Amino acid sequence: MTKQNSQPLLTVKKLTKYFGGLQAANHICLDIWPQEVVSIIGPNGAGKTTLINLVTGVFPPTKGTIWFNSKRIDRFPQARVNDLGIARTFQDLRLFTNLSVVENVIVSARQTVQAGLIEMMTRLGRSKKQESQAMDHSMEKLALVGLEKKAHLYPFNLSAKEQKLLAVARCLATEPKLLFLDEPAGGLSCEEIRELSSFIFTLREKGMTIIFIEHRMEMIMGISDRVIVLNFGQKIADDIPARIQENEAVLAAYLPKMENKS
Amino acid sequence: MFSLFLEALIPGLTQGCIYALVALGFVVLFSVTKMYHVMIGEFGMAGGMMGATLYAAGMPLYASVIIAIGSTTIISAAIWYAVFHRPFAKGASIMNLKLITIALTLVSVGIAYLIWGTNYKELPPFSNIELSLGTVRIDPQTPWIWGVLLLVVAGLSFLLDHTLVGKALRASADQPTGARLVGINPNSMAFYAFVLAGALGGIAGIVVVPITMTYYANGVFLTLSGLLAAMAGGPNRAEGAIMGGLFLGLIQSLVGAFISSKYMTVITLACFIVILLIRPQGILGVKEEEL
Amino acid sequence: MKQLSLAYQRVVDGRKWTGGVIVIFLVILPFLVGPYPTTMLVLILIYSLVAMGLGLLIGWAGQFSLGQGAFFGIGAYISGFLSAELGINPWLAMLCSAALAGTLAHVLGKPLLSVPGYKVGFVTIGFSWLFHEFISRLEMLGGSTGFSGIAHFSIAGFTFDKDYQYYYIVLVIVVLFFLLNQNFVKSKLGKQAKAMDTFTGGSALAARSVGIDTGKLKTKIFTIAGVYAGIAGSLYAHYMTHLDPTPFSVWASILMLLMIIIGGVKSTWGGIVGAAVYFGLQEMLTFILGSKAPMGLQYLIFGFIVTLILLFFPTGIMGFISRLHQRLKGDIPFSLPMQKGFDDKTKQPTPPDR
Repeated sequence: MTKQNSQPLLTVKKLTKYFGGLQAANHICLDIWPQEVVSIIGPNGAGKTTLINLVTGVFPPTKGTIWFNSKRIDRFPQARVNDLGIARTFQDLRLFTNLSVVENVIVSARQTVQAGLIEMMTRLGRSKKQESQAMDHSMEKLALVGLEKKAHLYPFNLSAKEQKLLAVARCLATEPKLLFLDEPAGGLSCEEIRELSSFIFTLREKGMTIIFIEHRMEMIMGISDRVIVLNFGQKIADDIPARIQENEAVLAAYLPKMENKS
Repeated sequence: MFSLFLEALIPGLTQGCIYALVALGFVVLFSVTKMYHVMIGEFGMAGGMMGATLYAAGMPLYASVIIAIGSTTIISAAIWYAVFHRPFAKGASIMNLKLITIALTLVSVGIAYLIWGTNYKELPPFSNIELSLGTVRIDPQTPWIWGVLLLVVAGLSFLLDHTLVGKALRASADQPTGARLVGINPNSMAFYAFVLAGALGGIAGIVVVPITMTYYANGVFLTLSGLLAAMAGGPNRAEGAIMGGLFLGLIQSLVGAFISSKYMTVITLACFIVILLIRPQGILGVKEEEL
Repeated sequence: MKQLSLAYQRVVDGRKWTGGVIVIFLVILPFLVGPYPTTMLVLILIYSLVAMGLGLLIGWAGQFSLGQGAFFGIGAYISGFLSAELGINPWLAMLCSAALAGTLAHVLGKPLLSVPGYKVGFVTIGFSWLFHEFISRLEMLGGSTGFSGIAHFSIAGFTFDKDYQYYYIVLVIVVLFFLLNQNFVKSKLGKQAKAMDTFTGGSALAARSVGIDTGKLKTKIFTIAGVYAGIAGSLYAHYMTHLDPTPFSVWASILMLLMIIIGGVKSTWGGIVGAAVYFGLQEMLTFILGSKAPMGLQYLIFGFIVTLILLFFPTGIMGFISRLHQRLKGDIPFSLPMQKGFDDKTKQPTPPDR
């Protein structure tokens, strides 16, 4: 299932980021293979979201390189990284609350029919075709997450779980090959986590690679092919779930108090 | 050749001092409140016009000047309380406040027009000592302007380093959240900053009158120059304001003397725009980390 | 209250004919007001075109440009020069000036808007100032006295030189650009622009994360604003047949900004409303005072009105009207206070889709 192809999909080499004096990422190295489901865990402030930000181009690294499909992307701006096939969700979702549910997806939609500015302003040429294609594609993505009936409502009309689904649908509209999910299971019940997990497998079957940041152990241990552990900006472990549970460095990072007590 | 250089250098620096004063006022308000003071030049105009009117009415020169500066300070305070106090306290957006200053510029130009019409007003130099450097004649107002700038800089340094209010202002500028946490009221700080800016504008406006005269639309010119100088020099730093102002005056003068006096403003403006495009945070400014 | 809402709803649902009524009104307007005010109407329309473009720039790209006066001037001078000195057909001249204004806007806008941190207001105001200084000194274009000899528009031999004739030409063009504006707002690009507006509920960061190139989009909108101003300038030149630097100063840029602020930046009507207020004020003052009102008084009152609007109705007149409209329709309760800041009908329940 994994490691079939000879080349990793995403490679990160000695990735380092300083914010002034604060080191948020410290020589991180990792490889992600196509269609893997990988989780990134670590205590708060370990640098998990920073890693996503670096890979997706929110800010450039201070040192190190990032490679996607053998192409170096560490200085690319966000929009360009997304064009290449990397999408991400946000911990605080950041939905476009001033647009309707379907519009949230339309603005993200990758399309084959592109209309130029003048065509859009005059509503001539390919604009009408482009609009209907955008609508079709977007409704398709909404149907994938089960929100097609709420297409014309606004994000604030949706429940928390539905909002998360919208965030994912928005990402899917960009036709990603690699999807970062930043704490997708926050606030979900065990049943909902099972639904989310099977959804992630569905995405994997469609050819996607998923990397998710999480704290919920059921999800991490349940579906990850691999678990990567960060602490203080450094990678301290990178292994299958079973071995991670017994890794001493991981235990020390998560449970320092217990060490002191004994 | 050298005398031509001197002839251009000295008035250029002098004009630059004026720009620097306005730019300082701008920086004071901006660093504390992030507000763009687009009407600061109007205080300059008001100060100049008032001083000139008082003098023409018979008041002694120094009294006119001092009363004019005092008036602009008071008017500044009044405007803050009348217009900005509540919106600022309620957290109006900076853009909104900036737009209000622009609108007030119109109001003040309108008022000035109604009071004084389009007449030019003038003042004699504050002292009549003939000066010269070699063969180059220096306008007698020049040392006053330089002196005022130095005095203002010294005064500001003293204020910011040695008084409680000044330190509070600096704290608010550097770390607004931290300042609030130790009990510094941001609204009061904004008020002081605004009044200080108005005073600085007024000073700049009146001390330049003996050289260039003044009229109702002078404010816009002062504002634009001061703004451009401050932004190009670095809007967060007083040093940036001073440098920007002096630079602006100097470049304009030198360009006028050596390249083209007809297009001196155009070329200077182009230079400054290029500076702003290449280095948006200003020459001495610090880049804001964005996220 | 319910009855009022239902009645209002019924009136407004006849939306199809409201557009028609407005158009008919605009068409017969010159005959209603007489020759002198028609001049003012022409000016209102011309300036509203600039304001419309600026409104798009502010409302949809979030950029407060203080340089539209320069693009207005560029359009006017290029079109006027081509017509007066080279005898080029005014329509062709207008096209050229629009293209040039747009190109210049693109060249200026691209570096300015692609990377955040640039102070758009200052660079544009500097640009406006520079343009005015430059044009006042350029001998070829008449320096501060300007030049004359610009031709009026004409179609198939019929020259539009009477005021009301000019009014109709300008009206047609402004309506056309109004519709283009509306189309943009409803298009995918318009929605993407909304998505990247962090202040009204979008998120620039999230927009970029789904592939929206915010810099490119902002530049496009800046270019549109430049073209609108350029075309307006051309209309102005061929109307006045004489040009001098006075109407193209920094002051003009500032006034145009204030016009759209009064009108409301989120509405395409905002430009027209704002221009109408500015010029209408002048007329009203003249009417009240019996003789031509001093310019200072006009500035004073206009500035005062803008201040009031900014303090109490930051969404502008159209923002206020659209809020009123929503309340009367019953979409939002009357008890809800007017929101401060630029808002949208985003936080309120949307009426069900028809």
